[in-house]
Amino acid sequence: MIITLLVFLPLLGFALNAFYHFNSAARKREPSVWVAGLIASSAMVAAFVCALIAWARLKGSAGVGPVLEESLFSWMNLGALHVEFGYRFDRLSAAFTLVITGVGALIHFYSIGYMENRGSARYFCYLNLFCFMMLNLVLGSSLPQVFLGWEGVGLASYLLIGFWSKEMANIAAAQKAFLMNRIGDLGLLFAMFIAFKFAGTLDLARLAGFEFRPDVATVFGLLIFLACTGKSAQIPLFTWLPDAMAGPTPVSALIHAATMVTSGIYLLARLNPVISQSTTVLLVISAVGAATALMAAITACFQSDIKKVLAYSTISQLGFMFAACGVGAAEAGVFHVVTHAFFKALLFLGAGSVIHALSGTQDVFKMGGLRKRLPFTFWTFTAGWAAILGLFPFSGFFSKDMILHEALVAAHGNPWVFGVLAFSALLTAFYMTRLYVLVFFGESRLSEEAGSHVHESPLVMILPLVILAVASLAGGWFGVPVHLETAHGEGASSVSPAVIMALSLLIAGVGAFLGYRKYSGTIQVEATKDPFRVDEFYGAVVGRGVKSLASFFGRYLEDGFFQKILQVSGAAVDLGGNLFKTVQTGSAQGYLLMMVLALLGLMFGLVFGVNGYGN
Amino acid sequence: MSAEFDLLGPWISLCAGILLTLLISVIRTESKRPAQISALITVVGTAVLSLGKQPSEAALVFAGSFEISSLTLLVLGGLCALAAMFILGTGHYLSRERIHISDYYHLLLILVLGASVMVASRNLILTFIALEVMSLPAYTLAGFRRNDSRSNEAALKYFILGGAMGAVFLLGSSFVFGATGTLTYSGVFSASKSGGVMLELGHLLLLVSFLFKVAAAPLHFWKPDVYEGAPTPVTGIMATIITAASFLTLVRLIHMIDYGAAEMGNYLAWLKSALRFVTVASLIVGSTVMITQRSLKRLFAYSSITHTGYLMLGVLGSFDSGASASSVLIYLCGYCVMSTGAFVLLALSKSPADTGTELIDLTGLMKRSPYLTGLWTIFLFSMAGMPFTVGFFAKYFVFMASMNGGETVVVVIAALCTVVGAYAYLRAIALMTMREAAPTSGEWELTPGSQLVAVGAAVFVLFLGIIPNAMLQYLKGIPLIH
Repeated sequence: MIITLLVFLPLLGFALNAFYHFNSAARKREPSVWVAGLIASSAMVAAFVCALIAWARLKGSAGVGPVLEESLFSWMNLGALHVEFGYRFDRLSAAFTLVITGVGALIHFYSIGYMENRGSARYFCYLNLFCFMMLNLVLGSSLPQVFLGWEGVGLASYLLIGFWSKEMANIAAAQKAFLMNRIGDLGLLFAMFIAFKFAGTLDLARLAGFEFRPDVATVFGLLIFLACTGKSAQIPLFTWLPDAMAGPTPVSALIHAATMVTSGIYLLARLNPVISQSTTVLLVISAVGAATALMAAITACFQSDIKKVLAYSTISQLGFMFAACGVGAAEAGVFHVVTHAFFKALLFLGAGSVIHALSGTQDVFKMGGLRKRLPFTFWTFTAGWAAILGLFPFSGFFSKDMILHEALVAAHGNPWVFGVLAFSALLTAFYMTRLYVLVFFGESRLSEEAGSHVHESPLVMILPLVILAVASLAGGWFGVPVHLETAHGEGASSVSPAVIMALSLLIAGVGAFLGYRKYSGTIQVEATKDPFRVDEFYGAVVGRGVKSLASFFGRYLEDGFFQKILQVSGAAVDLGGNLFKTVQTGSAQGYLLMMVLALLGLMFGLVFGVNGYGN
Repeated sequence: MSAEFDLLGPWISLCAGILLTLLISVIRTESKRPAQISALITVVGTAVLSLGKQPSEAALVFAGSFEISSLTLLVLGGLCALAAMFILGTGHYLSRERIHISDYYHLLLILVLGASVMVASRNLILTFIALEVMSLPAYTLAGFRRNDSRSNEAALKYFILGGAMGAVFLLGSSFVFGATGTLTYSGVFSASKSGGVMLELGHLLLLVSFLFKVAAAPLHFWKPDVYEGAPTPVTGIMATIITAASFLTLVRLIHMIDYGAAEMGNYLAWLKSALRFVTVASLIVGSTVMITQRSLKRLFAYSSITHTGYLMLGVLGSFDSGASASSVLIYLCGYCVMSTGAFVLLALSKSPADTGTELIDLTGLMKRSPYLTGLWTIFLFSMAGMPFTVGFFAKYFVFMASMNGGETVVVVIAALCTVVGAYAYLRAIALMTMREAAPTSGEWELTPGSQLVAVGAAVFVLFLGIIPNAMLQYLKGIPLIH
C-alpha cells in the first residue's frame, strides 16, 4: 500500500491544514505560517520517503519493465465501461513522483520563509492539494484518473495564481490560465471518448499496447497533444504561463516550472507507443516543440521582469522536451524534465529570494550588484545558470545534449529541428546570462528604499536552494532515468555524441559571451516587449471573433429563436402547472371524488376494454 | 418453531423495543428524553441485527405468509436506519413546536414495524394488517400539532382518503379470494394461470390502493395538502419510509400475477398501458406543478410525485420479464437518503409552522450560512439528478431499465420532465446563492444532531455519486420478487 500511502499523505496534509484554517477562523485568530507550513512540509517529506522506498522496491523487483500496482476499487462499471481506481508505479511514474515529492518538499519548506506574514494555512492547503492531484496524474492507472489529476492540478494552479486575490490583475491571470487549460482539457476528454470507442478500454497499460487504425491514431494523438499544449504551455496555448507569474514565487517554481507544466511530457511519454503510430503526430509535436522553444527564447530576451524571463525560459525548455518526444526520443524528454525540475526550481527560488530581499522588486533593471549582498542566493543561482546553459558537468549539459543529439539521430530526427533547437540553446545562454549579469553584477541600480534593507533570506529558504543547487549539479550524472520502448532503429543521420557535446558547449559559450558583453558595461534600460504580440493577436482575432460570433448567436439564435421556444414551452409548462393546480381544491370530498372517478375509469377500461363485454 | 424465531429476530427485537418505549413513555411522562433514547437504541439495534444477516435463500414462515429474505431484511434495516436519522435529526423541531412528547417515538416505531412487515408479507390479509399498522400511526403523527388547524386538517384528510383506499384494498382482496380461493401471493400466482375477470378486477383494486399510497397521479391529490399540514419530520417520514415500503409492496403486488399465463395476456398488456399512463401523468403533473409552488413542503410533495414517476419507469422496464427490478431498489435507496437529508434541513427552518417554510426563506442563505447552503445544494442537486450525486445514478438506472424494456417514448418524456424539475431545484439554489435575503426571509438554526445526520446523508449522496459500484453490486444481487 506504499503507493496509495504516498499519494494520500498530501491529502492528509491538506485536510489537517483545512481544519487548522477553519479552526483559526472560528476563533478569529491568524493561523501561524510555521505550523501550517510544517504540517504541509512533513506530509511531503513523508511522501518523499515513501517514494524512495517504492523506488527501491522497483529496483529490487525482477523483470523487464518492473511495475508496482495497487488497485483500490472498481470505480465505474457501466455497461462496457470498466474503470479501476488504482495506482501504477513504474520507472516513468517513479521519475515524476520523485521530482514531485522531492522538489515539492523543498519548495514547501522554502514557502515557510517566503510566505511569512503573507501566507496562511489556506496557501499550504492549496499546495498540498496540488501535490495530491499531481500524484494522481502521474500514478493513476487509467485515463479518467489522469483526467481527475489533470483537472485537479488545474484547479490548484488557478487557486494559487490568484492567491493574492486583492489585486484584480492576479484574478485575471488566474482566469486566463484556467480558461486556456480548459481548451486543452477538451482534447483529453475527446481523446478518452475515442479511446473508449476504438480500444474499448481506458486503462493506460492496455491502451499503450493497443494498435489503432492509422487515421484514428492520428486523431487520438493530435487530441492528446492538444491537451498537452494547454497544460504544458506550448504554441498555441502558452500565453497563460507568463501571466501565471502573478502567483507567489514558490508556486511558480513548483507548479509552473518543475511539475505541473511537465505533465504534458508525462502523458506523451506514457502513451508513447500510441503516439508513435502516427508520423503525422510526431511531426506536429516536434515542429510545435521546436517552434515554441525558439519563439519563447526570443521573447525571453526582451523581458525585464525577472520572473517573466524565467517563465518564457520554462516555455522554451518545455519546447525542447516536446521536440524530443516528437523525434521519437521521449526518454530524453523525460530526462530533461527531471534535470529541468531541479535547475528551474532553483532559478525560481533564487529569483524569489532576490525578490524577497528587495521587498518585492522584480524589474532586473532596478537590481544589479547583488553578488556581494546575497552571497548564498548568488552562488546557488550560479549553479542554476550553469545548468540551464548546459555547462559541463552540470545536469543540464547531459539532458540538453541528449535532446540535441537525438534530434539528429533518432528515428524521426530532422536537421531542421536540430538547427532550431541549437539556435534556441544559443538564445537561452544569451538571455540567462543577461539576467544573471543584470541581477548580480555591475553597479547597484536599486532604488533608495529597496536598497536600504537588502537582506539575505532566512535559513529555511537558503537550505532548499543549496540542496537544489547540488541536485542541479549532480542530477545528470546518473544517466537517463527511464528507458522507454521507442523506435530506436536507423536514425536520420549518424553523428557522434562527442561532436554534439563540443558543439553545444560552444553554443553555450558564445551565447554567454554575447550576453556578458552586452550587459556588463553601462546598462541601458530596455522596455519589455513581446516581439510576437501573441496576446494582442488573440485579443484582436480570437477575442473579437468569439465576441462577434457570440453577439450573432445572442441576437439571432438566443433572442430570436431559443427565447421564443423557451417562452412558448415555459408558458406551456406554466399552463399545465396551473391547470393541474386548479383541481387541487383542498376539499377532501373533492379528492375522494376524483380518486373514485379514476378508479371507476380504470375498472371500466378493464372490464370493457380488455374483456370486451361491450361488444 | 425456534428456527422461525431465530429468523424473525430483528422483527422481534423491534417489537420488544416498541413495548419498552411505550412502557417508558407511560412511566416517564414528563420527560421525552428516555423514550427518544430507547427508540434510537431500538432502531439502531434492529438495523444492525437485520443488516448483519444475509440469507442466501428466502425463508417463508407462518404458513407461507411471511418472507424472510435478503430483501426484507434490507428493507427492515434500511427503514430503521432512516428512522434513526429522523429521531436523531429532528428532535429540535419537535421541541420548538412544543410537540416533543414521548408518544411520538413509539408511534414512529410502530409505523416502521408496519412498513417492514408489509414488504415482507406474502398474504393479502397480512399485507392489509401491516398497511393499517403503518397507516394509523401516520394519521396520528400527521395531526401531531394539535393546536394547528392545518395539521388537524391534514390528519383528517389523510385518514379519510387512506381509509377509503384501505377499503379498496380489502375489496380487491375479496375479489381475488373469490376468484382463486386463496390469499397467499404464491397461491394467487399459481391460480392466475386460468385468468378470469374477477381476478383481474381484484388485482387492479389492490394496485390502485397502493398507487394511492405512493401518490401516483391521478391518485396524488392528498399528498400536497397532507405534506404541508403535517409536522416537517412526519412529512419526511411519509416521503421516505412510507413511500419506500409502499412502493416495494406495489412492485410485489404487480408481480403477484404469473406473466407467463396466456389467459392473462390481454389484461397484462392493458395493465402495462395503464401503468404507463400513470407514470407519464405522475411525471408531468409532479414536475410542472412543482415549479409553480412557493411553499417548500408542497414543492417537495410534487417532487415526490415526480420521483414516483421515475420509480414507475423502473417498474415498466421490468414489467414483461418479471425480472427483479433492481433499478427500483437503487432509486429508492438514493431517493430515501437524499430526501431524509432535505427534510432534516427543512426542519431547521424557524419560520412559524402555520405559514410554513417558503422559497423566500431560502433567499440569501449563502451569506447567512454557507454551510447550510452547501448541504442544501448537495441534496437539491441530487434530486435534480446531477452527476457526482447518487441521484444521477438512480435516474440513470431507471432510464436504462425503461429503455431496455422498450419504453423509449416514456423515457423521452421523463427526460423532459427532468429538465422542468431541474428548473425548480436550481431556482432554489439560485435563491440561496444569488439573491440578497428579503426582510421577510425566515431564520434557520443548526443543531448538532441535525448536522450529524445531514452531513452523513450528504457524504452518502456524494460517495455513491462518485463511487457507486460497491453499492450497485450489492443491490443488484437482491431479488425484489420471488
